[in-house]
Amino acid sequence: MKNRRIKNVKDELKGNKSAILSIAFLVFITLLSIFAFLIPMNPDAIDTSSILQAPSLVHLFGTDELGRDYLVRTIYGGRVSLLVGFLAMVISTSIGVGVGTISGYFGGKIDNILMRFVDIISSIPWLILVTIVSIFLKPGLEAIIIVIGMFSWMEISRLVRAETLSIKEREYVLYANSIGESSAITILKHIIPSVFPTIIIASTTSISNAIMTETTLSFLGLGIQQPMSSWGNLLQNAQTNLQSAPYMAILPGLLIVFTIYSFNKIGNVLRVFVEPKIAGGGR
Amino acid sequence: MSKYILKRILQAIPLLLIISIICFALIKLAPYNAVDAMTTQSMPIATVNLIKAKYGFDKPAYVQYFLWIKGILSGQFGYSIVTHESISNDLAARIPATIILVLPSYIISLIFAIILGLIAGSNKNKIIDKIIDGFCSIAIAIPSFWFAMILIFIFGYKLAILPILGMNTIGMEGSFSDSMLHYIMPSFVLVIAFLPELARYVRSSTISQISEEYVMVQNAFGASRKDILFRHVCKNVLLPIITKVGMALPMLVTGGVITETVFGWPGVGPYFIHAVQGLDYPVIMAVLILSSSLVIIGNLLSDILYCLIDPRIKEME
Amino acid sequence: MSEETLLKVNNLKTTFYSKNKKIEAVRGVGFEVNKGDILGIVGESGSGKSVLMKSIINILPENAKIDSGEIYFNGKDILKLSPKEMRKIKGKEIAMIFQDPMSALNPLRKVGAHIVEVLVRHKKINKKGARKVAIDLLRNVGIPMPEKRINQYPHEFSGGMRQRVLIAMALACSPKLLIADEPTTALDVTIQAQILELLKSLKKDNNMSIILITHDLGVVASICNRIEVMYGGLIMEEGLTEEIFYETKHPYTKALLSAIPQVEGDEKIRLKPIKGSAPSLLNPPKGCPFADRCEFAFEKCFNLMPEYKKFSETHKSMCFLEK
Repeated sequence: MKNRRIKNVKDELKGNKSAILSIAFLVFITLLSIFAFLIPMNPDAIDTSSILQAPSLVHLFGTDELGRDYLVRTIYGGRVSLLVGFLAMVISTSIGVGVGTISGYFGGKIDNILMRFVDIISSIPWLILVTIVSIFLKPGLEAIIIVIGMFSWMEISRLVRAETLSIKEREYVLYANSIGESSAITILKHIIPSVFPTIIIASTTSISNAIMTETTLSFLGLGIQQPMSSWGNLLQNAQTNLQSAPYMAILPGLLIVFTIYSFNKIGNVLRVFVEPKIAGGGR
Repeated sequence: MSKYILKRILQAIPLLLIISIICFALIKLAPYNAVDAMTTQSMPIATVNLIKAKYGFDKPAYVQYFLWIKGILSGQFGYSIVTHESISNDLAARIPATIILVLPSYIISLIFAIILGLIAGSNKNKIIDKIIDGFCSIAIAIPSFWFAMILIFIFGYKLAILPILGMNTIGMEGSFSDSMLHYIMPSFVLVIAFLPELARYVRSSTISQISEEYVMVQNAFGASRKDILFRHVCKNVLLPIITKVGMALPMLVTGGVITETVFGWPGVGPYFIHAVQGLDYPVIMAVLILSSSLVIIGNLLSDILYCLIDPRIKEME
Repeated sequence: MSEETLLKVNNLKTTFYSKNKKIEAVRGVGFEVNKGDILGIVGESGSGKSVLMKSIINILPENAKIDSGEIYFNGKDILKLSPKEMRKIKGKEIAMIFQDPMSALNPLRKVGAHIVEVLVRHKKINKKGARKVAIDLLRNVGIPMPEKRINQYPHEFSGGMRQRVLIAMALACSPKLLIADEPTTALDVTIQAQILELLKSLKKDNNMSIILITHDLGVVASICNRIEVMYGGLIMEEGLTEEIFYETKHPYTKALLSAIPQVEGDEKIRLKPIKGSAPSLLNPPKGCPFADRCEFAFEKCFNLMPEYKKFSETHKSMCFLEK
């Protein structure tokens, strides 16, 4: 069955040019971020003689108001944004899967309490919640990863819980129970592998959301702080120079759009992994 | 049915209470409170205690909580640490501005979403569907404030045909056309921000309705595609949209936080953001409890509306 | 084609197409329905009978196509009609009732609205007049208190009642041909009998012909006058009911009949199921579709498609066997 699913994904990818482009783009910027240290330019190098220059052959993305090369700053900014996105996704997915499987598997009181808890947190509009929590922590890289990670797991937990509920009635789980396998092992060995496709898809959405949130919070001054650059605070800076240096806003923005779009696209393609298409028609 | 409604209302109340308790706890946990704003290190303890007593800070926590709740239910949200203004007054001035911006934008977005979603859903996998869905995928990846900045640059700076700040030009408060000009860009940003998710929802709802058996039956009785779409599928698709709309109630207060901030629109948005940046806890908490309550009430309203309109649920007791 | 022929299907082929596969559901079917017939089409799931009906009334899903053949209704080839012209026939001259009454009606619209819509569309009467007609229709199919029930929603009806509503809807414009696709399969046995009786009496009152699709030979025996036996997308045997039951020629039909549990006699008789399973329609066998399950099969059967042998004016069978 797994092979058929993988084959389905491959088939889907073959025809889907935008999916291939998306993957290529993401691989590209990821590699760029990882190997950024190889670039001979310093993102913090101030050069007051060449402030606010439009893109040119010397500075491919132009320079900012302190004369720093914008391309390099954007690359380093991308590195931060992707890092935040990824780590926040890891945290929220872990919490979400944990809560979801425990809640779904054990049911009863535990399920009630956990889901009530999820309901309560979900009652607070997300932006408000995240903004408020970030006040209580010192602003910075760690803070924003924690904030986004710790407050984005609710949707995943609901999805995982629903999947768990349906899987736990399946025979192989009942069999495992009947031979006295402990709950923890059952969950790890049986439930999580079955829920895996859902988790993968949810995590792509999670990264997109995390990147979008980081961008927003940093733009509002609540996220990554200068001199560290992220795409979000680059945009914040760009706002004050909008009239004279529009490229400062346009370029990181475009990268954000492509990145989020690409993650979403991959998520869509992976959906085929979960729901294999039935060939032909019915009766 | 009324039993169900009652049950839902009773379920919502403890939720509201818990949110209010969390909110109050956060206020108390804040490293900086109203009294700190009014006192300095050099003040004698006696003075500090007097001030504390005046604002009720000397009373036990649960009493403070009840007083706070009482205040909120009667519209008193306390005072801003930074400006010392009454929060209720500030909100009363700002909420209407937000509603004026958000409500029409949401409605416009909803209308477009329904039209586009129906078209896309009933033409699944054809070109028009791919275009609409593609548009939604891209739009959903665009940060709204970035879109706002691009628009400001093009229309505000480059072409200079639209104003970029505020609700009115100073001195032209009565002018309708001036207000309209100020309204266009922020509203457009919001419409584009709300559109893709709503359109996707309508689209998938349409797709699932069209694959229902009764559609094939209608086809067997000679119904044209137009008939099927407008007389049957439409109604069934619009029903779950009600839930979505109910859940959008809190948007009337917090729906445009970022857009308002970028455009300097005098709504709840900039008010909240400034409070966050300035660590103005009472304001932050006021917005928190207000918006959370609206979320809970919005969900409640959705459920009740759904119950009233869906004939299948009407029958269940 | 005689005066009496209402529907004539010639060599119909319907195929489902997906990315790189095709499923041949109907592989060259031809039959006739005469005025006054109740024609039963019998076959297992997967024999293609439902797809055959959906091809006639043109409600196939997007990925299905009628590759070839003609369908003559009252002398005209309806496959050549434009969608607009075909819509005038659907629900008016030819009507269909479906297997699952639960999902066949729109749950958010009143039952009356369904019938009124059909009447307004095809008979061009106004809504008020249509309502009166609808109430009468509901009464004729045996729904008590039709004036009250016409304003109710589908979920307020039981399965049998919902099927009656569908029958009322189908009969609204007095169609010449009624296609009933397993109308009783989803219903209790007692209700089954009622619905079949209803169909019989309505046929008489309305002077229409019926095609009844089913996998249940008992149903077919009780009201059909002619039978087609379908398997693997093709018609195996065709004949009058008596001919099919008492002068069975085709091995598949024989096997079907002997698989029916016999209640008579004291002796316990072993059930004879048909071994094997239905052929894959993805790669249909080039010979007789029943060959690999047939106890009489010989080598020719696997390689060559048998021709139809006529045993009487009304009875033919697609098989190489002489008897």
